[in-house]
Amino acid sequence: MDQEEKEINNGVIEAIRSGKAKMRPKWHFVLQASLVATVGLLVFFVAVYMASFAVFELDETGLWFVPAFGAAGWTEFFGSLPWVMIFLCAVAILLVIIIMRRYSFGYHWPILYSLLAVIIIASGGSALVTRTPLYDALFHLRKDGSRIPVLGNWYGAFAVPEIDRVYRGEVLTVATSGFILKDFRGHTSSIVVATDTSLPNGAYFAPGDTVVILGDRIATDTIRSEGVVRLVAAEPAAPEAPPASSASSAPAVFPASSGQ
Amino acid sequence: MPSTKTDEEIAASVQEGDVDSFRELMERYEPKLARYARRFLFDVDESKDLLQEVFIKAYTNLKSFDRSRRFSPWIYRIAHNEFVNALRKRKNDRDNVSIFDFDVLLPHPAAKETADGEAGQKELRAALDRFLSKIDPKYRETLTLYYFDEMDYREIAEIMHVPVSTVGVRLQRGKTLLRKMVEGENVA
Repeated sequence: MDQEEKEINNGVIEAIRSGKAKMRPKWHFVLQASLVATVGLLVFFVAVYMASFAVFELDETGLWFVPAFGAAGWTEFFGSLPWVMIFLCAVAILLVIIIMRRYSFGYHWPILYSLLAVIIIASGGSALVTRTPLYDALFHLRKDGSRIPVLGNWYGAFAVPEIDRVYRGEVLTVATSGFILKDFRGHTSSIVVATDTSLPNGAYFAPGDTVVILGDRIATDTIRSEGVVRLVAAEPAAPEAPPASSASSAPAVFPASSGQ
Repeated sequence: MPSTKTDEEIAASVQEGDVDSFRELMERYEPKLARYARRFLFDVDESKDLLQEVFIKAYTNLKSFDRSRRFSPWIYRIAHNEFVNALRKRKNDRDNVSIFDFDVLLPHPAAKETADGEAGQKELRAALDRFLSKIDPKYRETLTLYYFDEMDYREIAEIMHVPVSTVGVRLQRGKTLLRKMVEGENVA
């Protein structure tokens, strides 16, 4: 052993004997590992929770479906996405990956694989969350205009902004120039379907259909549609006598008028 | 007289309070880590201080060492962290040791460990000695661990916390750089 080696070794042993270098107890590492794992899991759940909110909002407002209307739909889609929530979700996912890379199962794979795995698990997790009774309860509170406990203010700040041109709801009655829509907040509007209205999956609508409309509100309770897409068709009803009025609960094929 | 115990057995004794056994671990690893430091950092004075710091950190954190695993990659990992931090503090090397590396972002085709042959290895080592300081630190470290410390891809991946395929890619790129330097020298 040369002089240099001896100096290093003696320096280290001296630091140990003098108490300058102390061996940390096992519990220190157990605690540290548990804290890191807990933080990683918490951040992951935050990502799942935010993703589930974003998915729910996109679903409830009908924003998911507007790209079916072509370029105008895509513009509306990207302009109305909850970007703050998406950004926070991306930051949370990035944090999860950084934490994962402390462990061999994280650094043994390229970051792209870890990223895909986290996104797939977070998406699956958020899809599961949207099916839990707690989630339904929270969103019923939101629909009723109540504040969600604890998350009320936070949610208001980051949720999908009020979308002016996209409406999702159920067809109440059909008329010659369109139909009456009840949106998910319970408001009713008269929808005008014109000859230039884009109807990607057909012009056949019936009461009870769930539809998404892209269009402009031309009066307090009237929307001129640029596009209408049917998401869920109504259950076929038992035949009954047609009503005398122009508004009907029977199916109708559009456009029946040129609109406004 | 050196003991016949394995590194892992000695580490276990130190974990149980036998401080003197730590001296033996240091005697085993000091030459290897000193060579690793010199070839990675190219600063003898700094290497000495860093080496002392590596052993102190190894002692301090020894209870985190899992006895069922190999000791060598564990202590080399501590050394790797110390050396990379030292490079980051240097003005000239700071840009070459980024926190994020594209090599670990995308998957690479699985690289097989190549047998260069004894003559080829000798030639490579000689070329490495001449040009190592001119090679990017991430390739320099991989080449050093593979050719001088004779570690396999898996061990290097464990030390550097990168996928095994990234080790293969870095070795290939490092060798290509080295070849270009040798050719450049021959032309000149």
